[in-house]
Amino acid sequence: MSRVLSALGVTAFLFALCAGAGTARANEISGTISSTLTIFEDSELVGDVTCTVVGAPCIAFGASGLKLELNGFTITGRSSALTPCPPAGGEAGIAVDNQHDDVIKGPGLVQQFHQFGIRLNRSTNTVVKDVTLSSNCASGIIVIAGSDNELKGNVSVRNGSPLAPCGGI
Amino acid sequence: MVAPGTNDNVIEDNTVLGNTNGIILVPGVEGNIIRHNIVAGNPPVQLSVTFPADDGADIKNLATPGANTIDDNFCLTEFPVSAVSPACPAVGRRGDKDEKEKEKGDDPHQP
Repeated sequence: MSRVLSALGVTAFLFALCAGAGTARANEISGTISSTLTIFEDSELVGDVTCTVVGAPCIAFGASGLKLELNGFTITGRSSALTPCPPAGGEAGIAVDNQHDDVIKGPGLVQQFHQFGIRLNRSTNTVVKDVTLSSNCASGIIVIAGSDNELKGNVSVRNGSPLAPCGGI
Repeated sequence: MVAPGTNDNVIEDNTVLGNTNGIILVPGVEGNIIRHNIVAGNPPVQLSVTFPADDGADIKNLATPGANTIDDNFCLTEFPVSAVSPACPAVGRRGDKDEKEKEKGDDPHQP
């Protein structure tokens, strides 16, 4: 009898293991981020995000082939929408550096970062779709030395500084 | 877009309003496609008043003329102004050009 129960237990364990492996849960993001959050799996916002990160991105892609869904929520940086904001190096709402085939999907708002709303740096085949960028001190979206990226259906409003050759996109 | 090597990207169907520049292409970039965007009010009027030396525009194309495709956008200002094929002002509905070419049996999206 004990052998039967043991065999059933092992079977249940293996079934649970296999079932779990096929349904990996996305990383859920909300609240305050005080040091760069690097994602290594598909992720989504489940609430508004406030970033207090200094001199570095708020959310960074740590691998290729990932999707970040904003789900209609807002990511807010340290600057003020009502006062002038000289750009400060390194700060961005979302950074995709040296990756490929990542996706940033709106709707959602990325605002008030001291440099870029979204930064694609030496990345390829990245898609940024249906995101709103506002009141970022350098660019709403910037593409740096990357190719075959697609920026589609985004709204970029009130970004930039007269001190730098930046702007909406 | 910054730095040479920023090539072959597609910027399409975006709305870009009230920024210091709308869409900017820096020297050395090529093969990028900018189409069907609404790009207006860049820079906002107060910025032009406060920083009169600023040369922002809806589309600022500092790349080699003809190196990128800028087509069928709604835009009002460009810098520098192209003497050969100015991209702005263009105030037709986005997609107008495609529809006209379809009517002529020349759909640019069909192989």
